[in-house]
Amino acid sequence: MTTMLTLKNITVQRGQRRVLNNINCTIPEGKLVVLVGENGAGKSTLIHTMAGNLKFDGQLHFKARAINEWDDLSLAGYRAVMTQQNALNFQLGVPELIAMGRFPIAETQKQKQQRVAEFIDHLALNPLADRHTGQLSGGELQRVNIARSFAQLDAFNPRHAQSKKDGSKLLLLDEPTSALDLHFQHHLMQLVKAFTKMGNTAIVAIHDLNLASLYADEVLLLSAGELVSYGPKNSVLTPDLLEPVYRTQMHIQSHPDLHIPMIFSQPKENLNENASIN
Amino acid sequence: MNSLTFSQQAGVNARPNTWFQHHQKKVLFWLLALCVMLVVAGIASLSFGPAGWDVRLSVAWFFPNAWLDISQLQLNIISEIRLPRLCLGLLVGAVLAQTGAATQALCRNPLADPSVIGVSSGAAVMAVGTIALGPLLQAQWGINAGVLLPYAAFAGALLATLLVYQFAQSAQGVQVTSLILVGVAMNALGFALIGLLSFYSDDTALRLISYWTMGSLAGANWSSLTQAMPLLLLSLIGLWSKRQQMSLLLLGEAEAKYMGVNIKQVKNQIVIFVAIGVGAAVALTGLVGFLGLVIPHLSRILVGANLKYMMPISMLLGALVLLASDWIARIIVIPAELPIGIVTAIIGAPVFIWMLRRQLMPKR
Repeated sequence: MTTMLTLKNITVQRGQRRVLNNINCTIPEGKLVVLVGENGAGKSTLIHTMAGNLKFDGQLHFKARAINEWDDLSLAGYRAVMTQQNALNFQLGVPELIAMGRFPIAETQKQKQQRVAEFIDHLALNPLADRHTGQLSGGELQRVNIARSFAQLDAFNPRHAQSKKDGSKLLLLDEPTSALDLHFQHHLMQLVKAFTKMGNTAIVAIHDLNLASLYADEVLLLSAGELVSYGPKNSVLTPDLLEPVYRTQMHIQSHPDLHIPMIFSQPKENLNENASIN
Repeated sequence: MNSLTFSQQAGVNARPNTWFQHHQKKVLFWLLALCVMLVVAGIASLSFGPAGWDVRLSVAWFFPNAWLDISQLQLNIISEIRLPRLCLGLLVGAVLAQTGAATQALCRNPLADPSVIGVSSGAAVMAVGTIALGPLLQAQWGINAGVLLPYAAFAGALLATLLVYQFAQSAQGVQVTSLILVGVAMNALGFALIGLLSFYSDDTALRLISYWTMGSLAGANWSSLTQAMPLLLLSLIGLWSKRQQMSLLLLGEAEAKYMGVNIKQVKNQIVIFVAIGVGAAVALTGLVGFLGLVIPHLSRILVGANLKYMMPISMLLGALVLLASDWIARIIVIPAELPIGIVTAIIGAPVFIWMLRRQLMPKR
């Protein structure tokens, strides 16, 4: 299996604080990796570091080439990032915003517009296609931005089968489901899954452990800037590893149909004791 | 595998989106409309003025012998005063609007404008300094201050831009409040320095300076225009070539970088081209405020924020509004002339306050 990303002794310092401490992992092609961890564990920092936008100590290789040897434009052709976008000061049309993702791709206007229409279809954005960004809810804007990231990587191109050799791409999504309803959470994760099935890699930070379990090939558990565990979901999603990170009691059962771990958290016992006092 | 086939199917059946066609039609309509209005404004600006009030004047300079009742003096006024003034208005209007749009993209804030955030003041300080020290320069080293003027203004604009950008920057990018406040400080400092310089100036320089700080196109002549033309054109072309990258910058610096924009390089280029444009414009016309703020805003209302479409509209609209303001300034107190900065400020200041309220106190 070919490697997409190699992280060796990655440490990220912000002022006096160590946000990431000595991260080591190798992320292969064709996998959907879910990034989990408590608030402030360093998930976003890890995503921005992998994307090549943060200074770090250690070695980071993307497609067997050091990340800082890539120039912005060619890197953009192979990896897209969806950040935790805050509101825009400027209003853009929905198709226009998706078309902006095509910046690194050389194509004619006509091709671009056709592809944008396809991504609007993929993300079921047709009812929103005539609106501008000021008229979108948080979840709708999130879906448009996901479409933009897919557009940047030319994902799901029906015209040419993606060549396996060097065509594999990396999609980094920072909490893409935070504002989505249940339907679109599954819709998005299904698309990401289909994207990785074509030989691409996706690294997705999400808080919902059960959503992670449903779609992840591998889970990367981060806590206080340290990598706690990285591997197949069955080996990471265990009470022994999760309980100390989330400081919550967990009960893990196998999904009745899918036979994957399902996580049930329960309130702390002392909460009940307090309740009985009153 | 089910999900895979479903998603590929979705792409194939996509019906072509009509948004782009609609939008392009809208942009085209406004481009044509503005061109027509610009021609009308150009004719008005050539035809009507204290020295003659006749539509035939707009073409008479081209056919000197066509009408016998138009005197040679009038023809000279058209070709040596009104015509360079028209060209100056077109160029400076386009430059001010475009540098405004670029500054707003750079700061990712629709309230940024070279005159509001103090860049123009920086240019003005250096320009006034050059005027005030002009006699000294001439006497000591034989340097003609007039030649130096656009370059001094450019240096001042560049310095001011770098200072403002440095001070207004925070971890979350450039914040509107800090930007406006730094602008207030820069403008105050600028006017204090101009005051100080005028304190040490002789009478001639003083008159030049006061005329300068209020802005005017009256200084237009072919020689100063040809001197500053390369700078104005350089700024226009330079910013024009970066309009796609600037559009991506609207989404945020990290986002633009992730989409393939070399952020550091593009930001530096924007700062330099803005400083060149503002410097040259200030050197020629003095402080003409608010144009860079109001024009891009109006253009965004017409065609949206994407600079690919907004920038050409903004340039034409800027040229149009500056020509119209200049014409108003010329004819409203005949035979005297109002400084154009007053006209643009009277139009621009209320719009600025309205925009500020809208951004700081959004309706919920």
